[in-house]
Parts: sequence; C-alpha cells; structure tokens
Amino acid sequence: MTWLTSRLWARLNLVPRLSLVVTLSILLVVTGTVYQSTQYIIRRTQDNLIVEYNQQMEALESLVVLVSFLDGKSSHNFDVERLIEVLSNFKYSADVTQVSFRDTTDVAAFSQERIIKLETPLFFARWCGLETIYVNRPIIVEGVYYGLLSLSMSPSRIINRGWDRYLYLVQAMCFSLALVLLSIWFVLRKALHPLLSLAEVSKTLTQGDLSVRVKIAGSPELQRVLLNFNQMAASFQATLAALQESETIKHIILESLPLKIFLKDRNSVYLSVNKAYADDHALKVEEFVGKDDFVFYPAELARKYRADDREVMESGKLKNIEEAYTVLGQDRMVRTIKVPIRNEAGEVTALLGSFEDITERKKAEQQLEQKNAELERFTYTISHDLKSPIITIKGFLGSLVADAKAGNIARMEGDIKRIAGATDKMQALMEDVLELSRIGRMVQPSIKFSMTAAAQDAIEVLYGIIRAKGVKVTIEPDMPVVFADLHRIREVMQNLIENAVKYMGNQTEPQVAVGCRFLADGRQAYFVKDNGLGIDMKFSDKIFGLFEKLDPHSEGTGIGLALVKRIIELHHGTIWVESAGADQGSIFYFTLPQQPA
Amino acid sequence: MKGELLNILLVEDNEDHAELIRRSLEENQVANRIYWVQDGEEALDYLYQRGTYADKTKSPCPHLILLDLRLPKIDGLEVLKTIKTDEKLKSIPVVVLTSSESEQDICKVYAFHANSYLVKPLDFEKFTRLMHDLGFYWLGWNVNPLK
Repeated sequence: MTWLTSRLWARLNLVPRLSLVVTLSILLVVTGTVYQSTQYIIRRTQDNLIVEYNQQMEALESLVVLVSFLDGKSSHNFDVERLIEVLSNFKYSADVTQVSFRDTTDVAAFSQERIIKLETPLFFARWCGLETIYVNRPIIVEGVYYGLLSLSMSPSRIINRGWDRYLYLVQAMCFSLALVLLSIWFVLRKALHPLLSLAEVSKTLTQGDLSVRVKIAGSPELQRVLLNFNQMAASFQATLAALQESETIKHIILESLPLKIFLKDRNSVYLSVNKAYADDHALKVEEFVGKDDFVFYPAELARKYRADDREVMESGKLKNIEEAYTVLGQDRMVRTIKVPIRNEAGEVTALLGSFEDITERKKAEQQLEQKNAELERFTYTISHDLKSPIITIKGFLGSLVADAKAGNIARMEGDIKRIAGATDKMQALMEDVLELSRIGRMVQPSIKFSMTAAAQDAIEVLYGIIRAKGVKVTIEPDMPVVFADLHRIREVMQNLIENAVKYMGNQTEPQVAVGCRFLADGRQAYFVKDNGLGIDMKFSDKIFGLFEKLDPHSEGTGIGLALVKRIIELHHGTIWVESAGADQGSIFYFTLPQQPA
Repeated sequence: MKGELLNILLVEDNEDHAELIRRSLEENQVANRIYWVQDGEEALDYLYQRGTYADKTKSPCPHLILLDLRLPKIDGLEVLKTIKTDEKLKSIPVVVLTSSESEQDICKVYAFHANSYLVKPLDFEKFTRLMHDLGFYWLGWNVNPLK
C-alpha cells in the first residue's frame, strides 16, 4: 500500500502534488470542523429534547392528575375512562413513540404506539450516540398510588434532521473543496507555467533542436532563471555549431586526403581509419574498428606492422618506413609514417599512422636516375670522343712543326692526312650527336604504314652498297601495318640493313632477310637477318652503346645502333640481337608496342 | 738508363694516338719495344698468349702496360680488373693513359689497383714531355718486378 502510494506520488507532477497537499490539509481541517459542529448540533438538540421530554411528561402528568381526579363530582374519584380519553387526545410531541398507563394491577389501561423511522445510515445514528428515552412516572395522589404512566421518545427525528444537516454540510464542503482545488490548480498552473515550458523546451533541446527558446514570463526570479537558461542554450548552440563546423572540416580533410590514415590503440587494434584506407581494402571504415592487422594482412606482414607499432610506441619517436605493400593483389611501394600519440600525462596511448602510395614516384625516380645515368654516359662519351680527334690534330700539328724543322717531308704528308682524318671524324661525330639529340626532340606524328613498305624504302636508299656487295635482300611481302613515326622506323630499317650488308665478311652468297614473326610470349617482332660475320654474344649489349665499335677499322662513328635503339625505345619497344657466333650471321629483332585499333 | 730493352704493351684503339705515343717514346730515346693492341679483347689475348699471340718470342710479357679506358669489345676498366685480379699478371705496372678526366674513372681505376693515372694532354709539347717523363720514370727509375 505504502509502496503503491509512493509509486503514484512519484508519478505526479508538481501542480497536482501541491494541489493535493493543499486540498488534503483543507479537507482535514474542514472534516474536523464538520465533525465538531455536527456533534455540537446533535448534543444541543438532545439536551433540548430531554428538557422537552421532561416538560412534556410534567405537562402530561399534571393533566392526568387533573383530569382523572377533578371531574367536579368527587374529589378523590379516579376515573380511568377519563384518563384514557385525556391520554388519547393529548397533543404529544413529535418525538414521542409510545405512551402507556398501567394500573395498580399492572394491567395496561392505555397503550399507544407510533413508529418514527430512522432515515440515516446506521453508522451516523451510532455516531450520534442518541438512544430512546423512557420516562416512567408513578401517579400518586395524596399518598395513594394509582398506576404508572410511561412515555418513550425516540431520537430518530433528531438524527434524521442531523443527517440532513450533515449531508448539507458535507456537500457544501465538497463543493468548496472542489472550488479550492480548482483555484489552487489554476493559480499554480499560472505560476508554474514558465517552469513547465522550461521543461518542455529543455526536452526539445536534448532531442537535438537547439533553436528553441523559453518564453520569458512569471515572477522576476523565475524570469532571471529563464533568461539564464536561454543564454545557456544560445551559447550551447553556438559552441555546438562551431564544433560541428570544425568536425566537418576535419572530416573533409581526412576523407579527401589521398593519404591513408589509421589510428591504433596500444595493442595495435584499430580505433579508426579514413576512407582512403578502407577503400584500399575494398572495405568499409566501420569494418576496421576493434580489429587488428592479423584480420587484414598475411600473418608475416601483420607481425612486422605490429613490431613497427611497438617500436614507435615504446621509443615514443616517429618512424618513417618505406616498404612493399600488396593492395587488391597489386604490389606497390608505400611510405608509412607512424607517430606516437600521447595523453596529457605524456604517456603514449595510441599510434597515428599515415601512408601513401609512392609506387609511381619511385618509378619516376628510377626512370630519372636511369635518364641521369644515360645522360652522364652520353656526356662522358661525347667529351671523350670529341677530345680524341683534338689530341690527334694538336699532336700531329706539333709533329708537323718538328718535321718541317727537320725537313722530314715524307712524314709530313702522313701527318697532314692524319690531321684531315681527325677533323673529318670530328665533324662526323658532331653531326651524329646532333642527329641523336634530334630524335628525342623532334617527334613526328605517328601514322599508319606497312612495315614492308618501310623496309622497301630503306632498300632503295641503300641500293648502291647492296649492289656493290652483291647482297640478295628479301622482304616479307605482307608485314603488318603499324602506327608509328614512319621516318624514324625507316631509319631503323636502313641502319639494320646497312649493318647487315656492311658486316658480310667473306660470305660468297651474302643474303639479308627482313620479316616478322611471333615470339613465344605472343609479341610480334620484326627482324633483319643476315648470313654474315655474326656477333660474339659477349658484346650483344655493348654494340648498342653510343660510338661503340667492335672493329676500330670499320667505317662510321659507331652511332648507328645507338640511334636505332633510341628510336625503338622512344616507341616504347625493345631491340636485341641474336647470333650463333662468328660467321654464323646475326638477327636483329625489334618490337613495337600494341598498335591502336 | 740501363740500356736494357723493356717491353711496353700499348692498349689503344685510336691509331693516331697510338702513333703519337709510339713516336714520342721513340723520339725521347726511351729504349724499348712497343707492342700495340687495339681493343680490350686483344689486350687480354696478348697477356694470356692466346690465338695470334701464342708465340712468346713475338709477344713477350710486358714490363709496363699503357692502357686506354674506352676500348672496343672489352673496355679498359674490365681489362684492368682482369689484370689486377690475376695472380700472374697483377704485378705488371699498369699506367692508365686516357683522355677522360672524370672523377669517377679516376676513383674506379685506383680502386682496381692501377699503378698510375695519366690524362692525355691536348698540347703536343706537353704530350711529348709526358711521354718522355713516363718512359724515364717507369722504364728508368722504377724498379720493375719482372726484371
């Protein structure tokens, strides 16, 4: 019961609570008052009643005595008949329920009864404590006993009247109570309304709508409270807006960075990753949280990452790692930076890592290194090879002077020839260098042409030397159409065929064949094949070097194959030579990458 | 000068340079015999007495090797490396004579234990002077292990 009451009480709002308390107190006071006043009324009535009874009895008694004995005939003659008549005609009080007269033999000479119905609940009657009053009065005249006069009076009428009054009181009380309750309710509601709206507004606030405000109303101190509340809400809204904005900016930064970022706790368990990181694994960001590297990487790699994490967290120092990394089945180079994260006490609590794909950069670096090395080699070669003729020229000029002084005419002629040769060589070298640099700079647009046609063009240019050496040249008639720089590819063909014709050796039936074949790996390779001197495979790379000549006595500067190689590489193709050895002939192959449709 | 005949192996692909060197050495009366080869492969054939150089009397073991760096087939550095890693050949003094002044070349050449590095002078007088000093030093003053 107590439990239920306390539960109900707890569910009540302030206004009903206050109303209830006030009402209950009033009810208590009023009930007490009603009780007291009812009691008082009843007591008063009863007292009056008793007085009335006695008066009635006395009147009746006097009447009985007077009537019975004073009939005018004999002074002491008791007349029962007359008594009954008197008793019958007496005007009794309304409360009298029974009247009787018993003579000396105890025989009821007269008896009259009347019933007054009790119209109240029994409890009220009991509560009033009123009982039927019996009054007996012996009739004794001049010492002679004539009989007993009895009178009963019931309190029922009084009780009924009291009940009516009581009911009226209770009704009035209930009405006024209701009135009081209502007015209290109303007044409280009015007074507490701002507080109630505060409750509602604060509820809306907590639900996330930060734009709501309380209407300022009520008593001054309440107004102050509401004003403060509104200010608080406004500053809260502003702070939250600023926070949200900064969060949004941070989010944008994190999610837009191509850098892959992750945050791990002390046990190398992921706390968070950014989108770029998750995308790398084709997973969602949420799928990382709470898991470690063993879930996402092969055990060996995960162990390595964990060891790195531990090193960073234990040393408290940033670590920069470049390593191989497999993403969606592709091998990449990545650069990872791991940074220890500290709490306010300075203890390392987490690890922030970022890594970026540097595969392309590494590739570019390697290419640049290659280019630099190539350039260095080129400069070295040029400076060396251009210096050689100068040494020759200066040397033999000096010798020429000495010869002139000595009159050694025979040697002078040879010296002059050497000087002339060296200047020719120098000129040829310079022209070749210029040509080589032109290949890289001047790229003509690629066009479609047949490789057969390119080879035939080359043969036309080389007609003289081919005829002089009696070489039989065959060209495959239906070589594929390629998409390339025609001028340069023709140059390649020309150089290769010219070399083949030039290094025929003592071949009695010199032959050169130009064609095309599929390699084991499916690529299409063009070839220039001869049955001449052949090449020692020891020198298969060296021959493509700038100004490299296997035979110092041969014509030319040794730029031909370097030029060819450069052209093919500019077309993203490859070139190589195959030869079974001396006098076994050689085959030069070159490929051009896949042609556009 | 002791007047003894000393053998020089000249490894030089440029015929003109070879002629200049030969002439300078002769004119400075450095008494010696010059054996000239034109590329790295030939040089190694000579030293190992292979092929056309099998005859020991016609192609004797040199007391000094004059080596150019940029050579056809096998280049000078490779020849130097081979000589200096061969137990029999490594005691022969090797003088690198080249037109290259590249620091890289100088470092590599000494790393392969060449005995000297000389740059061919552009000037004729200096050239002959160098050849004179070279002959004088290596064939005169220098005590050769093969003798």
